[in-house]
Amino acid sequence: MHTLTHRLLGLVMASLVSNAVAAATSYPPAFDPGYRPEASSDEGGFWYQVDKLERDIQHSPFVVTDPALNDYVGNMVCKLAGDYCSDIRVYVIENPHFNAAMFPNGMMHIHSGLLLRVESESQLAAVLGHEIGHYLRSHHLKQWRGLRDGAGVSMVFDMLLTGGLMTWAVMAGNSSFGRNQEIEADAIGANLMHASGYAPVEAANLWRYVDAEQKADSSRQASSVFFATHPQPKERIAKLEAHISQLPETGNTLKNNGLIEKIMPLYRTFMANHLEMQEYEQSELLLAKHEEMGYPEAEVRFFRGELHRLRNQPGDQDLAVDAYTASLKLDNPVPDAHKHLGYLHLRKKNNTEALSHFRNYLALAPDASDKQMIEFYINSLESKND
Amino acid sequence: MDHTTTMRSARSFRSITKLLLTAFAVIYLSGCAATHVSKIDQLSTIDGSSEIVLMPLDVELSILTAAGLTEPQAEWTQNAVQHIKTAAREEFARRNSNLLLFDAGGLNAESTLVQLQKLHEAVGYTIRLHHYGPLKLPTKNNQIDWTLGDDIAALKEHTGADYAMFVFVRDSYASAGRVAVQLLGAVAGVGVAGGTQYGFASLVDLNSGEIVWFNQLISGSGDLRTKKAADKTVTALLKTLPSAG
Amino acid sequence: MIKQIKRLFILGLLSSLAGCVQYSLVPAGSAVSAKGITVTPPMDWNKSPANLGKKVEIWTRDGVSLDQLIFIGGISDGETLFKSWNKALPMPAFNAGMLPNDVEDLVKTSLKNLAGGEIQIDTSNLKPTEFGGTFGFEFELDYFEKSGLKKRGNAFAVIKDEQLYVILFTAADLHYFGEHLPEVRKLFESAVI
Repeated sequence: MHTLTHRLLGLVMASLVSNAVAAATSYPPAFDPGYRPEASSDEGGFWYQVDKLERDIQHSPFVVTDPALNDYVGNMVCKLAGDYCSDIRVYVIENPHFNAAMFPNGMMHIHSGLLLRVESESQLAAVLGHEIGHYLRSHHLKQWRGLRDGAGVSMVFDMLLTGGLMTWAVMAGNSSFGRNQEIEADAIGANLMHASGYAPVEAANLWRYVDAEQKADSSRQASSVFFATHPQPKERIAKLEAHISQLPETGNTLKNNGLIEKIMPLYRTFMANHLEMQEYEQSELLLAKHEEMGYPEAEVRFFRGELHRLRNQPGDQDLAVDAYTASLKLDNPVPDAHKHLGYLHLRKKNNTEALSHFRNYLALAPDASDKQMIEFYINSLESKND
Repeated sequence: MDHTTTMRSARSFRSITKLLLTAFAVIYLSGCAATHVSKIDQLSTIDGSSEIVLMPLDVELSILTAAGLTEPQAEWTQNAVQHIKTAAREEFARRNSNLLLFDAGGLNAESTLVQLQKLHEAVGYTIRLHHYGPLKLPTKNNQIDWTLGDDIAALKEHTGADYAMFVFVRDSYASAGRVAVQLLGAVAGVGVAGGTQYGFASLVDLNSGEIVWFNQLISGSGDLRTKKAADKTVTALLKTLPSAG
Repeated sequence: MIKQIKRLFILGLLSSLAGCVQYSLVPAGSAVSAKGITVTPPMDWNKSPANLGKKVEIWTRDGVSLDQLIFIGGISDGETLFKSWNKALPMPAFNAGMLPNDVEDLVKTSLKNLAGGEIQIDTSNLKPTEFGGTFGFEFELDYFEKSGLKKRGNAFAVIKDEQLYVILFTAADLHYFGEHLPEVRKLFESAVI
């Protein structure tokens, strides 16, 4: 019985797949490179707002300006987008959530939380390709027009309160229209990856990780905006894999290619932001992935220590001590590990250890801004020892 | 990946301003009201005229669709910006003052010139909320008593002006579909707004940093799409602006 | 965020129509208790009607977008500084065993989540200070509002009888922070718990 059902499903899947491929080859871009709409058109009005938003973004303190990282991502976009390269501008935004965004005027946002989660250049290419897919097919415009023409009067109050576009965003998520666009963008993204020498299978792997992360954090699932506006990962992975299996084999396995090196100068900032979300199950998964990927181990261990210290549930203090201690035994340790070990030992009344870690902290970071605080504890611990 | 969620969060950059203007639009929808406050009788001058730098205009014109969504109109807005600049130049000239334009190129988020504009945004919001709005601050005694501080010197140095003027306008017009809904609403006895205009202008003394003049305009009618109508709006908005000399 | 804005807005609209919720004057020179922290302000302040939590009181001098003086008093083990308004952004809880470095992170994350979680706050210059006659500590904060306006802050904290007390001053980096910090410091020096 089960086998039969599976076979039947297999048949249905197979026919879906061939449709998808037929459709994939007929995904022509909705416009030519260098396109700009007429100012008098509704699309021109839409662009006008997005252009304004882009000017704000250019002055935004949340844009990551690191030139090496920006060049790296920018070059990847060019490789994937081909003739449309100069129409797309990428902004890396400091935001711990897993997200990226594409705007009709060619502005693309990549969240720092996304950079932390991709484990190879191919996975990053999957995201960029997907966004370029949305762009080339003018998905925003279609959604926006669809909403404008079909919007109910119940939206009026929302609109008044939020200024219009935000409501559009929320409403768009609930339509199957939006989900079909996601599937289409996945297919285009896989095609672009394939054409640029990346391994399309990494797109499916990325979704598998996102699925695992989502499951690790069941408490937030219901409220996640992301999954309200996107197909569930299972459906998505199945469709993607079916699509990829139809692409000619190229043996592409482009892997890291300097991804970690480009992220490293910003790793502490990005990880600290991630931990501030207090989604500790997610952070645990992420750190395990980083360890596997080959991020510097002293950094990963340090953030394991941070995770346990900040979570502060029963048993976490001991785990924090273990992680910080382990990180200090590795190359290029983080000086703050000594500081937090000092405080943790102070809490446990291990005065000798506390004193030695506080001293080591100031030895490694003589200009630390909390020097006065640490000196206060060193003095009081020394007087206790006397 | 999403091309909507981030749009949503990014939009919230200016959501407070929008929220506030909507609040005013809702409260004062009926009729037209202009209220101004001035701390000076005349603009200061060295040689009989005064230099006023017009800061980047924050203007947006939209169509109000049948469903009540505002749809921004790029062409109207671009025209309105030109009309306002021209009209402001004429209004300033009538007050023995010259209009200078602000060059915003190549500034980063931390630069004083960007921060001064952000601070003015917050001060403008504060004046609308705490001075004109319902939440009065007892220590202010109903006086406009706000400043951008000594760092205003950076703007004076950058522009060479004596004053800076900030202008904010949101304007919406009923679409054909909206007019139909309005008519239906009238038959059914429900009030449906045809479009609103909200704007304010604020003058900052570049020697002291103080807000020396502030005016807001709320109207159920008014137009910025054509030069003639825009002239009328700008004249009303700047009516109480003092002269130099 | 939309819900939050909507809620605030409707609340503001209703209360302003009812005319019952208003800012009240906190006069200079006389001792006043703010959530268990008694201070003698050297200048007049305005007390906000906003309710960010049972143990929170907000004062402002020029308007809450420009400066805020926040008093948080008597936070016990397991309690949060501000009340949570978004399930996806839980407020971190105070723990009676916390040391200055932990309180620094606690205040930072609480303030960040109060702003919708989308700002990045840097803290620095943690140092000991006398708070109401006992050992306390203070640190500085730097961040950008979502609007891009740069803010600075100073936090003063003490844990007394296993309860946390905080005086937190934040203001626009341009003008307002420097203008009011000396007054805030004097007010802090007058604090008694």
